Amino acid sequence: MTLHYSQKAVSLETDNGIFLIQSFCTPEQIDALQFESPPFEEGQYRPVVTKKARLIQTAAQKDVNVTLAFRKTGEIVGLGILENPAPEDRWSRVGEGMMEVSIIEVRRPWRRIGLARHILHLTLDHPMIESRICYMVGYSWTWDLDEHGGTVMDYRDTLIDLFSREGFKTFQTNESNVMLRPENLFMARVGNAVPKESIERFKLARFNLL
Amino acid sequence: MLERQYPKEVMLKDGREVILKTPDSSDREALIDFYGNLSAEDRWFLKEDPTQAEVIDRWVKNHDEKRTFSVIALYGTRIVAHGALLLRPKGGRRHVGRLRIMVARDFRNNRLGIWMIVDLMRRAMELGLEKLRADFVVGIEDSAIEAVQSLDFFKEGLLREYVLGPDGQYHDYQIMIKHLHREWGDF
Repeated sequence: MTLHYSQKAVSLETDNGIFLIQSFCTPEQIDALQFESPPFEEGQYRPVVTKKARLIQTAAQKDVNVTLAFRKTGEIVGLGILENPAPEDRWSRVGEGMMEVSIIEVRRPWRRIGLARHILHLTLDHPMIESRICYMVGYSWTWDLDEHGGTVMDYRDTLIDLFSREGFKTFQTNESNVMLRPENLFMARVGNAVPKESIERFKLARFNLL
Repeated sequence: MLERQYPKEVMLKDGREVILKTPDSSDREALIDFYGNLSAEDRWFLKEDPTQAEVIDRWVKNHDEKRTFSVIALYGTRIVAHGALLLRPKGGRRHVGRLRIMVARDFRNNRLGIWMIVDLMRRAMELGLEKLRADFVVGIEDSAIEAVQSLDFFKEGLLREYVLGPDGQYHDYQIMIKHLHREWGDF
């Protein structure tokens, strides 16, 4: 396996133990770690990624950044994925410069110790970041509100704060799933080397005019 | 804190681009112009006359003092829509916000009203409101009734022959309500 981009790793010491957060994880590295599906008693919350095979498959794609947080034991406790939009996705019409933060997640026992911030930072630590438009969509039906304890708008604010640290801004879009509920969220970060033409196409895509 | 989310860029169905922002005293003249340029028929059903400067001054003051939350839509320097979420800080209706939206005639049927409503719905949720109410004149604002139904507003009550039109005809008055969901259990 040839690495396209150099990996970076951060070691995070917390009261709950030491965690290693590593970007551009390879399929081989992921295969050597443990990734358990969460138990079904976690209320209505269902993580988007439940199988290690999905992580391995994603990590094998060109340009993609799978960033993982794991314990010394090899247990994966959090993940972030930066990948290209699916071909049928409206964002792919903008062109090659679009990338989606499709997953940012920390497993329940390991929340509120700052892992998400570090995972997101390394997920976006992509050598081409300034020539890309990175976006995220937040659908409230994927949020773990049972554990969060707040309202959907509190959760939305948490996401806005998290992504704003990395230069993301909220944008309006008529993407049908985002429009389904007022708390749903669309944010993006436009790199400072993105051509004006792409920015204009991104704008048109947000309103399905492309 | 609610203000920090503005300005916002919105592109309409016909490709025109407008900016949503909250009004301040510098928008006073443009707001007076906006309402002044509406037809007399459009203004007929308003409870106040916003072509009068003191009315606009009061509306801006209400926004500053958080009795309302207002949003304007700018096309260049021209105001093309004005939306307000009317709040009651105390009493038995403090959990209910009332919506008032006015869109310039040449910007209608372009989803601008929907963008304004969705934006004010978000602010209402952030303010912890539980219900939104919007009232419409039947026979005059039917397309608006249809539009808000697409946002899950439902018909709650109808006051028959309640409003008198400029032509002397009575119109039914439709009260529409939307429940604002705060948690999973509400879905």
